[in-house]
Amino acid sequence: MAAGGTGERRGLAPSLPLAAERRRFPRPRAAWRGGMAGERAAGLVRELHRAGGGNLPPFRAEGLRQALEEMRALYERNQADVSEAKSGRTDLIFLIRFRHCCLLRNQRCVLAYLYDRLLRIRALRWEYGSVLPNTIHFHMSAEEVEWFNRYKKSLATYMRSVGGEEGLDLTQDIKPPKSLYIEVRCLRDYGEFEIDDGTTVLLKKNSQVPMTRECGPFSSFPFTLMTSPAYPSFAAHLSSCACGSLHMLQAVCLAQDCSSALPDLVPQCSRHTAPQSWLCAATNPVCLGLKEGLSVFLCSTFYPAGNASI
Amino acid sequence: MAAASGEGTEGDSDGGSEELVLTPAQLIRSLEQAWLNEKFAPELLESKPEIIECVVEQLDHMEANLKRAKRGDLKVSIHRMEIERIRYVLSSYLRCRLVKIEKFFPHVLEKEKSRAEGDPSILSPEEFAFAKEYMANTETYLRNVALKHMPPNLQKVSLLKSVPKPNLDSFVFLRVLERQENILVEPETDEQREYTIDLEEGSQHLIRYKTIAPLVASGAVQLI
Repeated sequence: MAAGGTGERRGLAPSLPLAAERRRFPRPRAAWRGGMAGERAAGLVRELHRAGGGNLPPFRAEGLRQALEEMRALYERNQADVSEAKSGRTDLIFLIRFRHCCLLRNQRCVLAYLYDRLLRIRALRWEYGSVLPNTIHFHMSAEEVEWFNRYKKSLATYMRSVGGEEGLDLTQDIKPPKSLYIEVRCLRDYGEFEIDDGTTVLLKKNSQVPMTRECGPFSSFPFTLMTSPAYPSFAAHLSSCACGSLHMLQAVCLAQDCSSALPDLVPQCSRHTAPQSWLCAATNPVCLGLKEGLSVFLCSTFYPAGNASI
Repeated sequence: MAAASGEGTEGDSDGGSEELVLTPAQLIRSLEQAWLNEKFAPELLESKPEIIECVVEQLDHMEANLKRAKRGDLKVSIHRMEIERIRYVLSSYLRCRLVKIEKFFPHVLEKEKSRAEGDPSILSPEEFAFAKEYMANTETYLRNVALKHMPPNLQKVSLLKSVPKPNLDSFVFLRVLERQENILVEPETDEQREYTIDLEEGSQHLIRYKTIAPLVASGAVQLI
């Protein structure tokens, strides 16, 4: 029978002196509810890793908070045990060391998660330009947005400082130039238009005009590009800016009786369905011709970044 | 290159403080060499502010000349194409440097801080400012979002140790421009003797970057 007379006997409970056992070898209470240490932090990293291809999944503020909470709890337990170990309980040293390893691992996972997101956000600046699509914006936390704005600013300062008075926009010219001219097809009768080098061009409906990529500032005269075969019923009013990049002002539905202009950021004509996947057209940070907010989205098959051609 | 010098631009395009006077053709060639070296080297190479300045000046000259030229001239389109190409090379070169600066920012800044007085700088002043801002930005972000909330003994993290270093042992292709002797391929270990080779002019090799890094800096080899 059990030694230790103060064992609790509850009816048919086993006769081992469990309470006495517990007093002699107190089981370290887990500082976290359910699950191994470091699981939440590792989960954050795993999710980010799964969203490959440079995508930015939503910011897991809750997961981050829980990982930090876990670290705090581990540290507190360690603090308590360190003072106990100093007063003689040397068997706790292994536990303290284990908790410290957990803390280090959590720190590493959390920092890796945050840093990798920063790298993806940085890549977005180079891909999409200064104004990020709203869908991506929603996935960023407020501090990430702040980081992005500061990065944009320091990049713009650098680009302005290199290459002469107006600066050299490094986000353009990503691919070697293949041809000098872009074919632009007019969808509306416009009349005569004078290009930068003095030649005048007659813009009639359905005429195609080759233009160089730097046609000078004609932001007030939108030209439309023909849609790609994939989306024949929509056209975009594209306007070229002083910087040479193209911005989309408006999408237009080309269905027979429609030609309703679609407000920007809503590529969906109410009567005729529009393509769902639109990617942002590049915006130039030193662009002076158009307001930043006017950049909208274009389907990637619509025009390849840089050179728009039919 | 040939077209550039034929359009009546200035024969010498130095920025005024150079010892060498380069023709436009030579300038573009040195830009292309610097571009290729930067692309294939695993670490950030010396900055070449003179080349960049001269190229930018050259581009402005060419644009100004084109504005004055007769319209419809065939030369105009060819020169415009040339301008676009040069601008692409310059952009690509600067972009490559920026990518490397951002990737290895603690190491780049550390190297710049600890370089001796006479050594050439790997960062131009603008790049240095950019690198410092990037580092400050990232540090502030990490501190405010995570480190501030961590236990006191974990609140400092050494970016120098956590951010990976450039891998100087990676292999690169090179073409030899000036003959070199006794280049170390494998260092002496307990099992093998030192293995050195001579590099003949015009030959091409695949070799670890670490040993030939000084040759790239001096222009004796060209990475391809």
